[in-house]
Amino acid sequence: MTAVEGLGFGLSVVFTLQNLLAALIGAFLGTAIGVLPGLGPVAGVALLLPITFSLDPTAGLIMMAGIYYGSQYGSSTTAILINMPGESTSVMTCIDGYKLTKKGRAGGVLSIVALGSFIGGTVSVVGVMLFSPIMADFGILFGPAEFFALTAGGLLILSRISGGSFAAGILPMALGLVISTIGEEPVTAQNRFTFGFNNMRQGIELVALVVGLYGVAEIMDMVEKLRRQMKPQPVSLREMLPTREEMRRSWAPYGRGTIIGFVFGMLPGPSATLSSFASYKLEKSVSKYRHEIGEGAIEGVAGPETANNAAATSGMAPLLALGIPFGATTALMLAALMVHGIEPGPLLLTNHPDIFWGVIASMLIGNVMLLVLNIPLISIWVSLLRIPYHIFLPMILVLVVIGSYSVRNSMLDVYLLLILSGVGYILRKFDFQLAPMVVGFVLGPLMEKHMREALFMSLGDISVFYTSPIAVGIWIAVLLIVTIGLQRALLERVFGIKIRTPAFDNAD
Amino acid sequence: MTIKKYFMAGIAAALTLAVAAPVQAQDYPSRDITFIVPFNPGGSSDPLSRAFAAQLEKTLKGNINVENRAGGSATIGTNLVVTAAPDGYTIGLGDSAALIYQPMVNKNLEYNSTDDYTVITKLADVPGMLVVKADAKWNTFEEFLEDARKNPGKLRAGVSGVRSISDLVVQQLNRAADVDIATVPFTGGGGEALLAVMGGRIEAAIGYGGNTIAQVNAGKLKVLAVFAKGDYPPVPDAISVPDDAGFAAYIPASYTIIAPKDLPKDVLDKLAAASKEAIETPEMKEFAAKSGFVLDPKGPDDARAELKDLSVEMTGLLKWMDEKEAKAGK
Amino acid sequence: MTVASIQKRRSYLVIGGVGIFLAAGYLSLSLQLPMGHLNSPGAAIFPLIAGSLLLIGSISAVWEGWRMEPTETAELPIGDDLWRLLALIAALIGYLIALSWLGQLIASILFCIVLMKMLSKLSLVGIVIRSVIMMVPVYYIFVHLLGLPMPRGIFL
Repeated sequence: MTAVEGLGFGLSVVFTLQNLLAALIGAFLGTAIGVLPGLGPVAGVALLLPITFSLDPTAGLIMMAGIYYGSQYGSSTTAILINMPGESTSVMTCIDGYKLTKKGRAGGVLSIVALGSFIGGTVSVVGVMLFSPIMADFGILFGPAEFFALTAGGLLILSRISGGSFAAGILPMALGLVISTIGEEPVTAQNRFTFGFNNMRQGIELVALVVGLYGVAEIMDMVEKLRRQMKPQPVSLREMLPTREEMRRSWAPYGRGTIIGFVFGMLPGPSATLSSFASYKLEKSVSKYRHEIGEGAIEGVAGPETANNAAATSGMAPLLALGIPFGATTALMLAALMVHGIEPGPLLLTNHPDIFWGVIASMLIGNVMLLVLNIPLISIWVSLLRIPYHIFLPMILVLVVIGSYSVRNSMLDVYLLLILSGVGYILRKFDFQLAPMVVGFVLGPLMEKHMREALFMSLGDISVFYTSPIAVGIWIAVLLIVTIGLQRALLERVFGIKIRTPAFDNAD
Repeated sequence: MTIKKYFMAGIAAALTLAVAAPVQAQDYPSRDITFIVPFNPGGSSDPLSRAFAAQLEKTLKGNINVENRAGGSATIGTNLVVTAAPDGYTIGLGDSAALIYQPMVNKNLEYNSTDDYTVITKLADVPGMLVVKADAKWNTFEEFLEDARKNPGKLRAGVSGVRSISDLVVQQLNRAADVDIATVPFTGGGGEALLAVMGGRIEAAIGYGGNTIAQVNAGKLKVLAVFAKGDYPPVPDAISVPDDAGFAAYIPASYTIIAPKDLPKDVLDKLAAASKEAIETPEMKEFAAKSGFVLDPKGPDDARAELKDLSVEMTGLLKWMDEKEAKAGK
Repeated sequence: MTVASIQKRRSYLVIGGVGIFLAAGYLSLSLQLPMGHLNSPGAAIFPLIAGSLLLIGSISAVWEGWRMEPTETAELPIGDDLWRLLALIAALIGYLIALSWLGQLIASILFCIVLMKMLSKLSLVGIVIRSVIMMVPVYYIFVHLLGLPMPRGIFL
């Protein structure tokens, strides 16, 4: 199937009532989650995961994808209106976005952002469409040794470039790996660290982990600080029209942001966040209006917001083509596929073309829906911000508990949720990174499986790990990326060359 | 009496009633029945359970809620069934590995032998198939076995886990034919082992059910033999290992319907009869044919006897495997 | 907002220390698992790798804490903020315990009442009414419409 045929097939899959509804509900919920403080896309997807179980896998995945990129849209709204980013991906948007709001341009900026997100998302979908079948074909050549290199290498990269110090990345990553080994291991059905409790054999549930680390921990933080709620100014539909000047100045950042986002999205790491930083820095150095950026320039909003949507979308490519999630949200989607008994991997395209192409096509539809949802309905989203904490927090917490219980109908998961919230609260407080922990937790079992499979298959010959050219290539690439700081220091010291890598310096 | 005393008396009365009320078969089922599936939705066991539950609802004239309680090699859901109240309102899918193999290696379970639960009926078997790449050099089971004899420990067969049913059936063959086929565990589902065979990374795999049959029909794999007595309708041309080749390698993945022990006799009778009827409906037959299951509606006593036989065979096999590993210094 | 600033280095030292302790316990448990052989790697191999990484991460946290400037600070809640946080945690624990006994409906209404009392200045009657209005539909949607087998408690 060529990409065009695939897309046609995908559209035929999406245009059923159920799937369209799933895309719409996903986009709607995602936007709401993005707007509401305290629930990021990761916790949001985790919370809604059990609901997607009752749908068929295609509809479930379409809905999750909708939540994911919907939350990218939504998070920019709070950043622009009340200077509070809904997610880390919109941190950069605050700077110029809020200044523009103070200048009375809120409506126009929101429209510029919605349009940019639409362009970034749509172009990126086309990229995913053309690129992932090639990636999947390539992936068929992958055996355990290659997959081991990919998963272990990806995890290493993620924990090094997530930001913060060495320990801030490695310690949570290792903790995630350690937690993932609790329970019955699949190869020999050996119980590990279950302390004699049979129920512990099912291991730690991803939803409890993610909702605890991201959701409940954030709510604890909110209750502790009891931030004064900011009352946003109402925005009327009339103000939504951007000026001609604003439009004209946005095209170039749209283009640059799309490319940056697309490329970053396919790499391991908090790619949506990193890409928005990179885009902001790029605008600051190449834009014609660079001297205005930071003081309320439209470029500082249009670029990053386009980039983070493009990245959120292209992050689906490694998941769909190789079955490897490089971010916390895509890790959850992987888990959802596996619950439905679908084996993610290079064979997904052959075995489940409906899922593969359906999800891709739904992202196109979803982006249109988001554009429609966002511009006229902006006042509804803004009013979400006026829900008082005493209504909003108990509701979220009760839903969180129901959500973690319902994945496996187990109280154990609910208790774990509470413990993990504590862990999350402490780690965040001291600037440890949470994404490596979640991705470590998800990739840990895959790494172990591929490592042991490789040895079983080679009948104990350890050279299996370094004789495959693909695996060696991956390891070299990983080494180059992980030691980037070292290389820079070396170049500076020995040759006196100063290199700037804007994205990696102060990412969240 | 104070209000508190009234309250306590009420609770006491309610408890007495609840305990004393005998389960009456004529009005069974008078409320919803919970059917516990010890696997995730997805995979092949869940659709089997749901297909069966749908038919049982009709033949039993009651409402059945299917609940997935996966994990722990299916022991978590099985534990729940075993420890439920023996009133016929909690039944579940029994997986032969969880019922027989798990108690041998795990002492933390709520059951040790077939005496610790009620067997209502045997549901179905899924025999393993020995598959190789469609253009592989072996065209018959004999050729494959001959090669295995010449190259001990060199031919590799993909299985779903160390000492899983698919591994055990290869070990049965190793023991009976005195060969040494190495097993490679692929724990991400059967498709991975098939992919490895198609990619030429391993020589053979033990495949089950619809997925494997689809690849065979697509001309990517060929079936050398089936590990089951008698014919296996989905691949009628393949030879049977125990019947045609004469090696006692036949353990199938098999499913029973179980309930807690001490189930009242009349309830058991009613359930067993309704289950048998449900398994024999045309809908169930159609489902089984499509998914590669072999329906096997054995009554409570026969089904229990079959599980006991399996237990004896497994005990012997595991002992042989342990000795072999000890000898090899593994 | 009431916060106490503590030296960030101290928190790194503590977290690293706890991590080393955890890693040591985890590694010693891992050693009791079967190692297997090179051609049939056992269940112990991967935990040993994961545990070693945890040890490395923890040691590096201690190292970084050791070398960190004492001027870098992190904020910890004290006073009212701390009490509010502890009350939230207590309410959550209470909710989870009540969940098994009283069931989803009653437990969630009680939890909602406690939390609202904590976060708002509404009257008790207003709080109770709001809690019931919020939690009954949640119960209905999830337990009856979506059929989730939430604990029903001993009364329902």
